[in-house]
Amino acid sequence: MNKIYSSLLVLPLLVGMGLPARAGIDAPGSIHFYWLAEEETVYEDYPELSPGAERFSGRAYFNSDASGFGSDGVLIWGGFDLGGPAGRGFGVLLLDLDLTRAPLDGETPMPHSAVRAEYIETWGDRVLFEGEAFIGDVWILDVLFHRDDEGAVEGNFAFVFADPEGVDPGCRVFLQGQFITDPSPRKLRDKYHVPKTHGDAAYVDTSCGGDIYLVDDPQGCDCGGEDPDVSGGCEGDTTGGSDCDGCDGDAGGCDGGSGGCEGDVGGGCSGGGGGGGACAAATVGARARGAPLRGVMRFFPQIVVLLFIGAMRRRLR
Amino acid sequence: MFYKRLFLVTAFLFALIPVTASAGGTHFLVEPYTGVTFNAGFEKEDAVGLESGAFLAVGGKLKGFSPRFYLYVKASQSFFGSDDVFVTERQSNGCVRRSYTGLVGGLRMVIPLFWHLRLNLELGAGTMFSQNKFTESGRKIVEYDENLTVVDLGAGLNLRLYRWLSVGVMYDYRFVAEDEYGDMITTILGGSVTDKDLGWNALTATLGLHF
Repeated sequence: MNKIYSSLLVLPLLVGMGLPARAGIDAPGSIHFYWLAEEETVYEDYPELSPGAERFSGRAYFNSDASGFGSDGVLIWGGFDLGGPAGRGFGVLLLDLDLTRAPLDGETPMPHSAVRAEYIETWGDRVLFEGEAFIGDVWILDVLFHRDDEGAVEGNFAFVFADPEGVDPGCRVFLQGQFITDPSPRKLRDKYHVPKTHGDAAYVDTSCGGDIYLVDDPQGCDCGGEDPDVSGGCEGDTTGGSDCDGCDGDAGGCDGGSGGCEGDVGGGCSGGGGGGGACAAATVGARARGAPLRGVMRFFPQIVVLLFIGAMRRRLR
Repeated sequence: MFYKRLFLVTAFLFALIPVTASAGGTHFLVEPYTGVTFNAGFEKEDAVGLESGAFLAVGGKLKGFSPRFYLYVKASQSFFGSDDVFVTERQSNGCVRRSYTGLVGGLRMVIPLFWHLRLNLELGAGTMFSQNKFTESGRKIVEYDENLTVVDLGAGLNLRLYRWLSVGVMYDYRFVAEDEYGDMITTILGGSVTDKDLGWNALTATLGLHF
């Protein structure tokens, strides 16, 4: 009978402590960009920046748990004050990115199907403008995935937001946008001693077995293919039949693009070239290695519980 | 007259306790509990939550050593309801909803004080699954679930009424035991928080079933 009781007590503990942690990013950060408001028309291409254009900065938060793409995606909330001669306002940029499909060369934009973007401008409880991405691109410069929530990401973006239903006329333009977590990927690479090589993502695991890191294969899967559109990086991307997920998504993004692949300007971001059509995919399903005691440490609480139950049972006899 | 009756009834109940509670030891404990909980660290929120749960333990007394030791598993559920927050920087009305499901395991030490009163001390660790939702001006902004590794410290008093029954009060402090750079909803509200600030206090009433 005691054996049954013991089993009942141990079961939830074993189950609970064996739960895997979700991977990703959960960190504050910042966004910086040039911002334009056009009240009448919707730009079908990125406009030129006027010489006196004002650069905005805002605070941001990056959270993988909130991402619609799952734990290896990231939802970026960026908020900034628009106070000025035109009146008060607060802008909120919501970017949801599937980081597993991000080319990490800083030049090739993310496939459009891996990006969801929304912009809301409010003051008080009144919505002043609400729009979805009419054209836009995101370039990932660096990303670190983490077994818990200590990942980091850095990237650039450019968007033209317009109301798809036409209720709010005009558009809002973001050019030369940058987002970065705090701590930055560079800071975490220094902390975990993960070197940055061109076109790789890193998966960092700092569980009980000690600091373990694994850098994904920097070769990734070379999708090959040619992209005749030097400025766009997407249009006509012949993905060469590779079985690389990143490239499959790339093609999908172009098909569904509402003009976003045409005339990719990038507004002076480090991305924006996009030629070449090749991408290095970030294979996030990393295999842990290192620390020989890791297996024992992982089940340490369970072992302690079983030993205790065993000792108690001997006493009860 | 009333006070005399009350005194007699109380004296009678207390007189029952030594007879029943001194009969042998038990090794298993099931302890449902309920009470209030407060979060610490979310500077823009001041909601009071309700916490309920169950405490399951196995243990006993070691030879020649007065305190009892129990290994426990504690499952809890906390609801903070809807917390209305005015966001000053954009003059808008936000609403935060948080709830937590906790699963903690650890060691409880039971120290007999005097009569049938015992001091409970707990040290445990486990995981808390949090559900968070933020709406602003009636519009859903973010919604996310999160797992947090926590350490649980508890202290309380317990009165063993019968061999099989005890009642008590417990104060628990639960804090985050992993690196947390912040909280999304707190940042949206214009505040900041780190793992050093995050914690939950709970004051609960317990009903212990011993067997």
